[in-house]
Amino acid sequence: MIKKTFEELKLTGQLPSPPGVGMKILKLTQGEDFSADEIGRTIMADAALTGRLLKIANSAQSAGARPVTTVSEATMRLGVRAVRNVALGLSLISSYRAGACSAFSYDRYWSLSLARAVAAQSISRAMRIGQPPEAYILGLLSDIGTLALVCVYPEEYASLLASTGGNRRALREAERKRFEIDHAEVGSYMLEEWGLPTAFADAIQHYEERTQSREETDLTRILRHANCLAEVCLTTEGEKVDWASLASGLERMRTELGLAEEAFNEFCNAIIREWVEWGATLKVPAQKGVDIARIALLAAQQPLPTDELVDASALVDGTPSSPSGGTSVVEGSKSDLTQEARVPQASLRILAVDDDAMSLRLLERQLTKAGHKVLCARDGNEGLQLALETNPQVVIADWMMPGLSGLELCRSLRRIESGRDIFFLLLTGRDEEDRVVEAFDAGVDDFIAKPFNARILMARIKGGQRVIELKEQVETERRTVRSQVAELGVLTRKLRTAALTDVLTELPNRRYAMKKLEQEWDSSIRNNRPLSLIMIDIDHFKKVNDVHGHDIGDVVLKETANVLRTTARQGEEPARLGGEEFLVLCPNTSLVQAKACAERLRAAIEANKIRGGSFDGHVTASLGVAERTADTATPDALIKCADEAVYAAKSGGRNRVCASPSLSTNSTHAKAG
Amino acid sequence: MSSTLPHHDHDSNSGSAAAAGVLDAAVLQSLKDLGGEDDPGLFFELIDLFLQDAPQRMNEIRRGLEQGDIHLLERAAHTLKSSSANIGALSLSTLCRRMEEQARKHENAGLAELYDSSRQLWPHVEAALRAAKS
Repeated sequence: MIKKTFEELKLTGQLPSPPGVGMKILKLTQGEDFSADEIGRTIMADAALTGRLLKIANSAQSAGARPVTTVSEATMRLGVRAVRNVALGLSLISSYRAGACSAFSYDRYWSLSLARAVAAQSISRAMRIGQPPEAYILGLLSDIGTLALVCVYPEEYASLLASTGGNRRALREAERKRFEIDHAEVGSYMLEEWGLPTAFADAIQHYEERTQSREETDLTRILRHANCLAEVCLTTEGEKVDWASLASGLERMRTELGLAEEAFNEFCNAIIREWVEWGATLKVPAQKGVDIARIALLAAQQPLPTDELVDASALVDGTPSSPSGGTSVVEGSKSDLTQEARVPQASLRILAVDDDAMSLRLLERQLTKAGHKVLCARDGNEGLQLALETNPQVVIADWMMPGLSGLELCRSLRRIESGRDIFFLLLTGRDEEDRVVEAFDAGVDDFIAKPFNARILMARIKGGQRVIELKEQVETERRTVRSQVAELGVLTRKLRTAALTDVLTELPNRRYAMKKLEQEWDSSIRNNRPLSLIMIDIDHFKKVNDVHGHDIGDVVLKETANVLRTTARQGEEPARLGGEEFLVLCPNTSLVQAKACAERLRAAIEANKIRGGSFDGHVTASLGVAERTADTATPDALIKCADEAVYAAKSGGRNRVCASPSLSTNSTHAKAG
Repeated sequence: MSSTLPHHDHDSNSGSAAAAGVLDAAVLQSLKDLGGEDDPGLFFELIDLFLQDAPQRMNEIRRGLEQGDIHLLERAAHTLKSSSANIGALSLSTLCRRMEEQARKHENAGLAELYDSSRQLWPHVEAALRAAKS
């Protein structure tokens, strides 16, 4: 039932959610198989986020280590999951810094959450429980449920804040009464929704409870301590807070940490300093309050009965009006759901389509009254035409209509570019609900069963509005990404070419040749075609280098590469394997044909005049030819055969072509050089 | 016949006392409120639209019955079902829903009786709506 209440909150579309990058990261990591690379790329699209993430990565590692400077390093250091959590939290802060609830202090909210985050991270590290970066995010999101209720019911929440003076426990009770769900429950459902560990949800639900259960989880314990310290952070000495309770909370933490008083105070002060620093980074107010060492003293001196005390974590904006026993009369507390209509919302262009004139008129009025611009069509065909002409953001259409039905209208719209982003809301009869699967298949975004009241309609439209905004945001981002990808594509192609090309000769290199050989190998087996290769080794190349120098050696290599390039025919692919060794791949070529080709190459090399520096003349080469046979099991074996043939050519006097062993007896011996 | 009739108080011989019950006061009020100050004529307009349209749908239902055109009947009952619910004629809407359901399942038995009930109910609905306008 509480879960159901949460579903209703979701329906309003007003629950906080991480925008843009945060949302993308959430989506990316919702499956199990995501890569650190993808996450890194997504984060890097947001410069501010990147900076903050690096800061966390650096603060999370031990002093003296080399600083983390890139997102991928940070990802390696913190782990993908931790990076995801951090990005999520940070993108939330930046988009919920202010809002519609006038009585709610958004600043104080984030200040407290930040203090919990910093404290939880330190406590997790000190107690060696859990992952410090995860504890950080747990702290940051520890009160997200309150933010959610504030977002959904800004005015009503203001009155709750007024009636409870912001006292957390009283507030929780009032929330349950008013909304049938409290902030702790909302928060834990939200974390579950976002795919965060269930232990998070559990901790959020219990850390504020007064009584500490025996089965309390580690994370709950961390968060409870962090919360205590956060309250210390935001409290100044003059305030009428429950010093005794703060003091006992701190004492419990000190015992669990096993620290002496002085060491514990230093531990807390370090956290407070870190919080102040973080506040500056994230532009969240964070100012050192009471001196930690004074708290026990203040608790001892406390003269006030506890029911007159202000809650240290109250989120009321301005000075908390001192509530006397929760009986204070609240101004403007008469709030019912009609107020929802007054919450400002952007005007949408909506096309309403219904064949029943009365229903259509009713719908039109309900929508106009909510501030939307409405166009009406009396049937599906007119609806389609109007949709094409006016390009509405939302289409609301009846399912059953003569001519083009609502479903057919939706399908037609989804087929065209401009219709794809329209939020399509289908009106169905109650008894058609079991057929909605068909409707969703047709591309409908949502449906409402008739008859519906205006409230439900507006809630669905708000939901649609969120989708529209997100889509528009995504579209903008996609455009950016698209241009980046295009640049990347060019670069990638250049890189790939570079990676597979020999720098000196500009022939394909060994890596390319081996890859290509494997492809041709498979293809020749598949198609039962011959495959041959020619291995070429320049004769006495070492001597050229020794006598004329490496520069001349390079000239010789380049010249020889040119000869191969120009002499090879279509389909014969020369490559440089390294040193003075070349290879020509001959697909669809028998040994006899390959030998003819090799002879052509040999003659061309010999005929080529090379001039450079002290070198003036020509080189020769020894060539080995091999063909794939039943005996050659692998591409490597084929290369080995060709190598052996080269060896045979060398020992046979060089400047000649030899074939792999089986045919070597009748190899053509060209004129000896 | 009585087995297919809904257990409503507007039986064939119900008098004007029952007519007051054929419209839901809350729905009527919400329609008046919807018009508000900037569109005070809305309420009358909606009633007029309904009074123009409903007899045509009733006719289609009858023709569907006479000609055995079950699809015509289903579609007309479907439309009248939601428009009558919107205007607050909930009993009529219920009858239409039952006709639509039966027509979809091709259960012809009892359809004529359901139509009869709605035909007898119609004058009360019409009278009540005209009364609401004045």
